[in-house]
Amino acid sequence: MINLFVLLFAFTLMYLSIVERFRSYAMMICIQGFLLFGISFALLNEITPANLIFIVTETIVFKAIIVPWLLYRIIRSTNINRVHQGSMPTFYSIIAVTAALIMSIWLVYMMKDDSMDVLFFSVSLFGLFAGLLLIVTHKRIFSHMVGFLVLENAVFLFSLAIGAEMPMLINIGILLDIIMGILTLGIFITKINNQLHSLNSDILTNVHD
Amino acid sequence: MLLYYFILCLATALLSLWSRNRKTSYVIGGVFLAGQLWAVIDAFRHLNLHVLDFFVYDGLAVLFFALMAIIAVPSYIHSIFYSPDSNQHKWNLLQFSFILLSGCLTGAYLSNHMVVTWIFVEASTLASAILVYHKRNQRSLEATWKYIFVCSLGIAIAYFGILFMSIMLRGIPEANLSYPGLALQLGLANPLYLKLAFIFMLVGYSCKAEVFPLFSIGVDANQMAPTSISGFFSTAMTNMGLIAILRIYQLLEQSSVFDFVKMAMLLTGLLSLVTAALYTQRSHHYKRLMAYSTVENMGIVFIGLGIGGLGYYAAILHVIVHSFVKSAAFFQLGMVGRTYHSYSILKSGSYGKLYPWGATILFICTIAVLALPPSGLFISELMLLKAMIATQSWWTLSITTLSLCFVLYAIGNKIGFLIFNPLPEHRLARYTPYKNKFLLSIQMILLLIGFSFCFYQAPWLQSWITALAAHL
Repeated sequence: MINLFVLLFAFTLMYLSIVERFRSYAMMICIQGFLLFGISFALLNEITPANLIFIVTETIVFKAIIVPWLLYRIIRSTNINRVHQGSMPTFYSIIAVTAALIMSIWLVYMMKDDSMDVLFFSVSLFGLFAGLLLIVTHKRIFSHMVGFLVLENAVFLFSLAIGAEMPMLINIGILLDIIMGILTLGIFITKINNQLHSLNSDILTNVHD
Repeated sequence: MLLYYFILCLATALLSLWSRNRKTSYVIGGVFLAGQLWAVIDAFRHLNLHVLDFFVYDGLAVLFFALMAIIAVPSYIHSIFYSPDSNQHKWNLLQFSFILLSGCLTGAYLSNHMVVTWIFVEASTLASAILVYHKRNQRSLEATWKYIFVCSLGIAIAYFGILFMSIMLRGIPEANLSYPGLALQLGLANPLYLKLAFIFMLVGYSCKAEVFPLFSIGVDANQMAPTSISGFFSTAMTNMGLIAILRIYQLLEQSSVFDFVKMAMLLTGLLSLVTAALYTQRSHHYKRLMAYSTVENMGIVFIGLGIGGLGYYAAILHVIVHSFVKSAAFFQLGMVGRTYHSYSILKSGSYGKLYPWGATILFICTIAVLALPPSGLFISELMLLKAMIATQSWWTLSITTLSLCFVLYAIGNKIGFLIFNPLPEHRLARYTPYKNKFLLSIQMILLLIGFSFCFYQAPWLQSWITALAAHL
């Protein structure tokens, strides 16, 4: 069951690289939140109840509800629905993301040892690369934000891979990261749109040498 | 005492938000700064004491805490003089975030736990973002967005490193992520994981330490923050990034991957130095120029740590002196900015004629920052070069000296342009110099401290730095 959820998580990462509508991005982030909840729930017998409550709050409340809701709000308020035309074409995105997947699996097999769950580690490393790819290959700030959220989810999955002995402090750290994400999302994207009237990263070039 | 310090920090920060006039704000700020200095004295009196489970007053942490507390005072005073016209709400926010940032930096310096360090580093991003956004214009919004975004990315990457580090604790019931706790388990760790953990943390925290690869975000933040705060960012904040990396560096010293770690530090330092040398050539903004100088100086510190031996002493001395002289340089640039209403190199000139005292201080700042004798940085860089020769690191020596020459030319040339380039009389008449002898004297004191290291290092300080270097 856990492996199925992890595989589905990997599929959402692949799908994110080919979609062009921002609503699909928000939907995928929501699905990832529920999948992360599913994975943590499946790990129920391996983690303490306190950790579980924390993780459920993080996944369901923040990742699957609040963050996607904020994303939908931004889409509605800015009226920008698609990725920028100047972004990397879908065909190349698929090639890049497949290369990232192969590289993740190869890297994990390189450093494999007894303490490592290959699937968990490969997918979370793939999440890291997929998030960075979204940031690098897209031109709209919204896509950058989604890339950051994907990266956060990858970190969370990685922490679940180590899960059993995960101290509460790590959970606090992850929660702080989510708050940062929400703050960045909520305040700054709206402010940038209000002040600069565009969500393209091209306009963010005034601070330079 | 540390608990009281954090309570004071929170209380004064919140009171600052609700303050209704400047005088009340200054009293609150003064109480906080006095309390902070008292906390430093208390830390000195209780060296190596473990407090509140997650913190320790070890030599390195207390040194960085003391530097921050000292620099915070002139930084706050300059903020008062540089923001006379800003409305009360803006000032309240500045003071609120300045106090919170100081608290976060203290937490990160004194932390004895990998995750606690990370939490304070992350929290410092929030506090500093408010300071970067202080001017509330389009450019500050852009800089703040980039700052939060890249720092969050960097810190998330650092978190990957922490998770890699925690793999070695699997199956050990009482293990924890405190630095001493991790040191006990190092023998069991997979070396590849340790290497990956270090690289992730080095890359992640580089956004705070202003070194390669994520240095650019610190430069942007320095440009857009109020100048008095830039001086604080370029010293106290970079020291926080450095200590976050240094803790891992110290931890891995006992492991089999230490040679790799030193090599990574050396490479990071060299790349930072080369990058700074290239960017100082093309920069046309005085604050960015000084920020690139920070990248260069942090690069030198990393090279010192990568070389080892005498390089350790040089690195610590470099951090101390750099904190004093760089803050003085930024504070003086604040006066330049108020004179020309711009930090653009192309719009400046004849500063020596407009305000000879200010120009003199700026000239001394330039000598200090460029590590020309009798700057204290000259001694640390000389030691570093000696360490390179002793270890026969000829390639490192060549790249370092060449890059330093480039930086020297670029900064010397551009500050020289500001001071000596003659402006036509009609343009000169447009500018009214911002004169303030009180602020000049504060900058002079900071510079004197920086220069004093060239002539005299107190025996207690020497033995302290030697002890710190021995622990690296």
